[in-house]
Amino acid sequence: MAAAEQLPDEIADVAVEEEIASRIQASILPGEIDVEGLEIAAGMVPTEKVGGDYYDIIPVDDGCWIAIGDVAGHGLAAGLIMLMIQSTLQGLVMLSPQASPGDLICALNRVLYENIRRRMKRDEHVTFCLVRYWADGRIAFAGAHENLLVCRASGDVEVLTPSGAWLGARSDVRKVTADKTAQLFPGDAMLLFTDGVVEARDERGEQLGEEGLRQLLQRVSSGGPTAIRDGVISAVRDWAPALDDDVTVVVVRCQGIYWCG
Amino acid sequence: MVKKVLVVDDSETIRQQVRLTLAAAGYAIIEAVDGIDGLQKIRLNDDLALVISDVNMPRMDGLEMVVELQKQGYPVPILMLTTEGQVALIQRAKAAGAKGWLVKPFKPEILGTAVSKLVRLAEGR
Repeated sequence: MAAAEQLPDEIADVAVEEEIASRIQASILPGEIDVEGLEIAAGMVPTEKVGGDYYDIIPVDDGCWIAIGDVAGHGLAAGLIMLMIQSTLQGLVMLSPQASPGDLICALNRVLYENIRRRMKRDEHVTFCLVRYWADGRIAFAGAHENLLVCRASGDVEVLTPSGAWLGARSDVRKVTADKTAQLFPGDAMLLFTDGVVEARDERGEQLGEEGLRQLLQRVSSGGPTAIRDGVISAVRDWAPALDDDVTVVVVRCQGIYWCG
Repeated sequence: MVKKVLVVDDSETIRQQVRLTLAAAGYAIIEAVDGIDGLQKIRLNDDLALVISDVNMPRMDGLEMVVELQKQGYPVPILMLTTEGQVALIQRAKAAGAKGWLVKPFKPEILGTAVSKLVRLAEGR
């Protein structure tokens, strides 16, 4: 039934669902997080209809885990799935802080598949990327999501493409999930983002695109994570007269690295 | 016992920032203005918990100082605190035995965390 054909009670129900989902989305965000050697700034601009964006930063003894994702779907189901992702991931990290991103993603996928497909009888799926950061600047990452952009202290921007599959769509994603690694050095900034950033459309319908974002990152990278986050969000707002998807940005700048060996 | 930290930097402003940050955390601070001065202070203080050193300094730079300390077998951990971010320099510092690299300008809490981590690691050797 199209929205225009919905009865008043149904419209009210949808509005209540959206409100609940919106509260879930906001309530599971990590807030201020301290991680050794990293400056962190993150922000989410939700649309009126919850777009399904999610991010998390989980500190561990020798670094942190950084997650970003997008539930394909809206409303209460999307909110519930975000909550599942957040709580399952938190539990997995606490149980196995030294696991690889690929291992945790495969375990998370099994939980999501079981819950979404078998119990909820729904067809949502999740784009998701998980990054492990170590205090010596190494990162490992996996998943199926937007690329990671790393702006080096020199100003060069590198594109890191995670490898994986949508979560919740099939019972086992092991075969297509692979860990990749990179090294962050002091002064480097890494940008994680959701599709709402690069798919924002201007008045002519043109998307900002990854290349546009890459150029933008080069322009704003000297200002630190907060300036990068604000610069990206502001540019997306300027680009798109109206946002039709959540916009989420996570920026980490490596300020220091330690060699513990 | 109060832990001693040697700060080697030719900038009085940086030494003061580090001193204020670490004194508030209970460390005793000793200062040196370049690598040669740093080596002398290290010889005079065999109970240092940590050395924090700049890279670019007159007479002897921080990396030369780290290499010299390694040659002489001093076990004190070293944290480089510098505006430099070149990968080659960072790798040289690591190869010479430095335990960490922090870029200026620094946030006091990040310096505090780095210092406590490296001191803790050194104590656990």
